Amino acid sequence: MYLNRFVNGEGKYVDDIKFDNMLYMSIVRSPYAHAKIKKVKGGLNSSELKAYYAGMDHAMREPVLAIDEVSYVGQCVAAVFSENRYESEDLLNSVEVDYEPLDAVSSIDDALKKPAIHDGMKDNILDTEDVGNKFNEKDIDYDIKVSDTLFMDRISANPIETRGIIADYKDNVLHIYASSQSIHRLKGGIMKTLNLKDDEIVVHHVDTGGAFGLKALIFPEYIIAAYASMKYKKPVKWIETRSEHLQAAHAGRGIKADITLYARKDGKINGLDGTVYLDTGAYFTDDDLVDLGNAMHEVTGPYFIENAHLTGKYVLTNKALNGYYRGAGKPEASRIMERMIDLLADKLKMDIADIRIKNATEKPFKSPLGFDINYPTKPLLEAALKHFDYYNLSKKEKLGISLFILDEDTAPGESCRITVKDGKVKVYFGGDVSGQGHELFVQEMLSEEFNIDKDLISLDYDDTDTLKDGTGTWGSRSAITHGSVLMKTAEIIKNDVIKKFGKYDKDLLLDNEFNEYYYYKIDYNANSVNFNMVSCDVNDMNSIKIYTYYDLGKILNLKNVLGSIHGGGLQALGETLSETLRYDEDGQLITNNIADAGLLTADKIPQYNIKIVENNSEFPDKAKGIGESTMIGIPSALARSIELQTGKRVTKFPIDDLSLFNKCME
Amino acid sequence: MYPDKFEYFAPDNIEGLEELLDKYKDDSKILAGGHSLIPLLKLRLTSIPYIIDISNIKALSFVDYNNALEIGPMVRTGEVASNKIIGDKCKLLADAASKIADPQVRNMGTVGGDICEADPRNDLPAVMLALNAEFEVTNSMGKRTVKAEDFFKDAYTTALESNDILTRIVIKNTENYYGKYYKYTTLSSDFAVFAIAINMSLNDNKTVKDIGIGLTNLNSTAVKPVEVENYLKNKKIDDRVAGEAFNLLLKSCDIEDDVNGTEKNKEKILKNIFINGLKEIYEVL
Repeated sequence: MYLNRFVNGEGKYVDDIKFDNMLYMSIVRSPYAHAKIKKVKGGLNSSELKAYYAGMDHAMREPVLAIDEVSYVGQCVAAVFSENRYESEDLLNSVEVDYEPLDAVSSIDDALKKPAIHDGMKDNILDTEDVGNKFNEKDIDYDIKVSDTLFMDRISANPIETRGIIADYKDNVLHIYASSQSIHRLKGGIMKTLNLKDDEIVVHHVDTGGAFGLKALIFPEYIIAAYASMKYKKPVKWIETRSEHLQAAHAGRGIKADITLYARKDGKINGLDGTVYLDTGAYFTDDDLVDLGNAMHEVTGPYFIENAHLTGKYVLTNKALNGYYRGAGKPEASRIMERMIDLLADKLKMDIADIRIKNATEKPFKSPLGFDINYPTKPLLEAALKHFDYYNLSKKEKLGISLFILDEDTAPGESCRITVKDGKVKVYFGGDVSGQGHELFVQEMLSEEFNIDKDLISLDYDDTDTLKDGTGTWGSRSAITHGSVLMKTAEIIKNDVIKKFGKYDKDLLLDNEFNEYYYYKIDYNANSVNFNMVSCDVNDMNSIKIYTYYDLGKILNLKNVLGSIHGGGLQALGETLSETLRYDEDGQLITNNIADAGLLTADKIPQYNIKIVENNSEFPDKAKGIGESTMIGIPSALARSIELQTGKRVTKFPIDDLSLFNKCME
Repeated sequence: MYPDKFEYFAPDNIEGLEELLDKYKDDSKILAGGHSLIPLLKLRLTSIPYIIDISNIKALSFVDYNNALEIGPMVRTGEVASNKIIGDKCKLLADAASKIADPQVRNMGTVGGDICEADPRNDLPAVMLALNAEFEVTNSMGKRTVKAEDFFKDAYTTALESNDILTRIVIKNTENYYGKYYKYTTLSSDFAVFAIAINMSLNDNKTVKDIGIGLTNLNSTAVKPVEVENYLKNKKIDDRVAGEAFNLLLKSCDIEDDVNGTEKNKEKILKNIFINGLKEIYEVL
């Protein structure tokens, strides 16, 4: 079938692309978490390329190549180039760098205690912001107050295909071939940093082997490669090694929260207050705002809490920068709430489902933290509990549950082009696919819409020239944004047929040529209500059972849905049990390979009991999102199932307890 | 992989190998299955000018039984796990080999490579200690025999000199023995957090006739807790005896807090595994 080319090794990823006279780039990286650079000699360094690459002109943004100082292990200091990749690795030794090591800050707690890591700052707090309505506890109706600190440690995205780029400057145009979730965003970032005009750069999308949010970002290595190609007038390729990825790729999570809930004896929560900290790493990036923004605004989730206020703190550490990771603040927000509501239930000796019912809603609402919930949350919760027979099953099994809102990043919409030529239909999206299998729903939807065979339809790749505008693939948006723009564009093509021939039939379509581009605008973020339940026996890894009750609106393609749940479920187990990046006191990475970084392999895929409900959305294709749901719903429910058996409350992710799930091999 | 430059040789007989080792000495290294050496080269943690691949030397790949089990060092780990003679004569070795990594690694990794690399996390050194194995070591001057307990010196350090070749593994403690390899891992890695190899035989009166124990990743190299072995000989195994044996066992261990967990947590798990393991093997016999 169509996707078999990936399985058969016929995918064409960045590293499969080769040009004549191509240079390979290798990067001299900082071995220190924090040091002054006394001298750097050799390679391409900041004495020649002095630039900053963040989208916003923030004072603490990262230089493309270190200037006078390094602030994390793996920071780019210089670049070397050779037509032979082995030789470019050998050339790393030709660059001389004298460092004077400085004290390093390797955690949020450390950062709050120690002196500022950057000159010109009084401490390590980059910024502070408040959301919600500040309230005085005397003014609210409560009988009980519970407080706790929750921590979600950093995780590296670790797609199977690491980061990579080819920059090819020819005829005064910079061509970029990149593994990316959004070539349009990448184009904007490179243009801004290197001061290029719109017609001086074209970014081409190529096969992308996983992204998980990371590949929506721009990286210093990409700017260096682009600059070098313009300088040497040759194609320049950079492919990240796994070691570089673990060390230097922007990492997700890294959220700590001190939270207090105020509730009445009957379980009704009337107040939430606290502080949420984001480990930004060594420099500011635009994605910090999204991650901490989501992690704060979405905390109260599906529950109506009249008084809610949070203070957010962006905390600098001597570590690689913060970035997006599947959910980007949404899983953190939900986990904060779900772990706190379980604690409150325990204090009040209430059932964890009853307390959720008490706080769920009959109507859509806007939370005091500024989160618009489009649907009532109680009906879905009650339906899910009933469907899985929660109240009976919870007498026999140690169940954790999680009710959550999936906030789908639908704004500002998406673009699509459909072409019909030589009896074939080709589809191009402005938001680039990164290995999730969009091909499947494209074929399913268009074969129905056009009444033609699936194998006449293919999803092809665009570049920023052929598709002038586009957004990206992230935030559980594709089912809605890509599905809807696909339907809209297909309608336009059908109308073209009707306009030309007075009627539509498939032969009139396939025997002629059509080419239509459309941008479907959406000016708000949609959302949906979802539920997870988890049971397990802490002595047996194979016992983990994940119950999902997701409202997906209309299912566009069932394989896509199941693939997202199966893979995402495993990723969620990793995040809960083992997956993280760990640093020592000096800011050196300890988890230097994917086994130590706790990635789980396919043999750990749990059992699933999947129920999908289809309450159609308001969008043209009637779909709702799914991409981030597993990461939001599963970890807190699994943590609950575990703590019921160990008697030790879970506040830290990953739980990372060697004695859990008896790992003595049989 | 992008290692430093090296020169590659693949002799097809032992004499050719001896010649190369004599010529390049410390600048050379034998490549068997490559599952330790290649990652080190790839990450440029080591640089070796002359790599000598021994996979073409057929004389290093055999399994025989003549009053003792004899195994060539180039037998692949997967073969060790599934070979019928090994399975019949030495349950411990077959069990341990089946617990190394995954099928792809077992298809390439070799019994000799696992032993000679002496990574403290490798599984077979402890198994060789528990089995009281003997190693035939060959160089251009001749052959000698080294006992397993004299072989493992420190992390990545053995009794082999730069021109020595492990040519035969001899295991005599096979008839009437039963053994098992208790390996504890993390969820994400096949390497042992720690492991215990136990090989045991009983007298007619149900007391322990002989026992061999080897410990993986509980010290800087694989260790043989001789004091524990001696303590258990001629005793019946019950909770008290097993508990006392564990207290002695701890003397051979150097457990530290690390990325896998705290010393306390590891010690607790180790105790359970050791005591249950001793009892399980005793009951099978």
